[in-house]
Amino acid sequence: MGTAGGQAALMWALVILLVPLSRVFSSNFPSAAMVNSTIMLGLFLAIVAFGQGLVILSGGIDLSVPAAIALGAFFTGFFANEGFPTPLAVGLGLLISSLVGLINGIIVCSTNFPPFIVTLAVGTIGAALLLGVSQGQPGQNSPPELVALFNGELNVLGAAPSLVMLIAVLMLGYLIQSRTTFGRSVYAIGNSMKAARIAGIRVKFSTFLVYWVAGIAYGLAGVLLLGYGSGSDLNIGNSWLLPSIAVVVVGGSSISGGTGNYSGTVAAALLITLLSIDISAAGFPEGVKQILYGAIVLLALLLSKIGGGRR
Amino acid sequence: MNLQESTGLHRRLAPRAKAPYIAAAVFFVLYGLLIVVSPVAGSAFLINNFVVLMSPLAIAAVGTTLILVLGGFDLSVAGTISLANVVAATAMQRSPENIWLIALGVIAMGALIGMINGLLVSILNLPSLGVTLATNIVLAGIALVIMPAPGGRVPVEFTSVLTGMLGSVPFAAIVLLGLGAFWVALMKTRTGMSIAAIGGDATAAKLSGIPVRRVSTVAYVIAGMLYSVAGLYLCGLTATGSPAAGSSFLLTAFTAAALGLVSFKGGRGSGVAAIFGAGTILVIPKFLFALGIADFWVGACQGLIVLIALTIPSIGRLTRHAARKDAGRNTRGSQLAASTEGLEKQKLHI
Repeated sequence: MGTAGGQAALMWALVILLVPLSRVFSSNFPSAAMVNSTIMLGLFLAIVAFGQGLVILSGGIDLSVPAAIALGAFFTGFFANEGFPTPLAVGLGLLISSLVGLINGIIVCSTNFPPFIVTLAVGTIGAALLLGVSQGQPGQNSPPELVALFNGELNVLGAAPSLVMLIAVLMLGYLIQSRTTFGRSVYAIGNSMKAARIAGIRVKFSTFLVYWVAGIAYGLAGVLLLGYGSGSDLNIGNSWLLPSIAVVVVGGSSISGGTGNYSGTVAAALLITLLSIDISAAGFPEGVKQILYGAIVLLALLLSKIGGGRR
Repeated sequence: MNLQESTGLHRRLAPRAKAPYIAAAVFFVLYGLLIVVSPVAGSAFLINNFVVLMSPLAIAAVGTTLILVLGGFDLSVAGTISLANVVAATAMQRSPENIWLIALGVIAMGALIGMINGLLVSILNLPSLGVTLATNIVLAGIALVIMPAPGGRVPVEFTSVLTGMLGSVPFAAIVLLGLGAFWVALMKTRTGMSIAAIGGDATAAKLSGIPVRRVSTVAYVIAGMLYSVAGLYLCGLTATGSPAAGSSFLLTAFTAAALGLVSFKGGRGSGVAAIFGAGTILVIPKFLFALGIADFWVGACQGLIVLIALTIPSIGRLTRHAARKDAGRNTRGSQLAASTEGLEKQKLHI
């Protein structure tokens, strides 16, 4: 815990340091627009990484992220366009996207199958079903209320809604992960499933809940992405899987589970978002961004080893 | 102690000896059903087509199985295939006179990738899932930088050999036969047996004098080379390159291994069975298509097949577990020790 907290503080320091340093990548930086984009894209990444972080904390890994995001975005748009009121459409979208996590949870907690294969398989099924259901109308328009969250029209007490949401997500995520019985049992399970069982933790139920909550988080990110992009397509979730894992590991969580801290994850989400905006502004191709993500994950793994991590 | 261990290992290996036969039976029954539904699938032309089509996956799945036997997970299969595919397509278009030299170079590149994975996992003792996930991302990124969109042209001298016939036998069938023979031979060598021993119990393997680091690294090198060959074969199949060529292999390679009744806990698995597993994965969509089921449900079926395939080994384990429980009621202590060991191992790999 101590090292994870330390890494979180380091991440926040790096975020603050990197804003002025962006000038290296583009002469237009730093700018208000850049900070604004960082907060918006960082918000999506922070929400996705909350789910991924819980799964990794429990000792698993979740590759069903893209499918759950796409389901959340598609069905929210679908129901809104069918004339449902927006809150109901969002609710239904979340419900359907959470099915991915629900099924992941049921399978992982009741069997000893490797989580990465289970989530990959369930995600593939979800994506294929979405492709089948959406025949002929792959894109969905966003309801105007969701668009208004991100186009600068709305402000909450003078602040952009995305900033307010980011702070809310940070606080809520931190509380759930570090201050609830559920969150504490996930730490225990990630450290030692056997010890957690002996300590009287309902290991199966908590494991199930981890994947379900994660699925809801991905769906929520999908709903917000629908508003951000003013619509959705079937590939809306594809670009979020790798960053979500990178962010969790960079934020100080062990990829083997048991340690980590959501504040570090959010800081890493902002850091990686900022870096990727910088890289795009500097004109590097998409592949370079991927290489960077991979290198960062490797580096974080190495650092956790050198930094006296237990594993 | 040593004797006990070796007999223990033997007992654990023994039930799996049936795996290739089961996997082959499943495949041949399905292919037989396909011929019943659509008789043209039995023609020599389509059989050759099918063997060519399943070759890249079969080759990759043998690599995946090898690392699973070692007790690790190698997710770099997708990135390595993409990179090999892209590098081969680009280089072969540029200098079509050196295609076989280029193929060799690409295989060497795979060996290098495997070596990096192996060293990171075995020397630095990092979790294989994390390491290979990261290298997979990096490799896919490099592939994307080399070739941002599908392109390149592979000379017909290369494709015609890989997809053609050698006499009256499909060249791909010879490759797969060779691959199966390679697996059987490898598992009879000291290295092969050490790989299985490490996967069965890394601590015991170390204590009995197996050079764990060297053997692990060699396994990753072999796996990397196999992925590269799979990427090359994909070039031969499509006559072009794509930076996303390997991405679908992540799921299918592990599915093929699962259909080959591999143990995801390490120590047991058969590359020969995985080859038939690859055939099973590819025959199912054809079967569904012949039945008139729409294309986009195939993905859903593939996912379902993985989940079903995963249950097969555990059913076997369940029955054996029940038998052992009956046999050794008074060795509760050793059972508990064994189960803790299993848990610790599980944590190590996930």
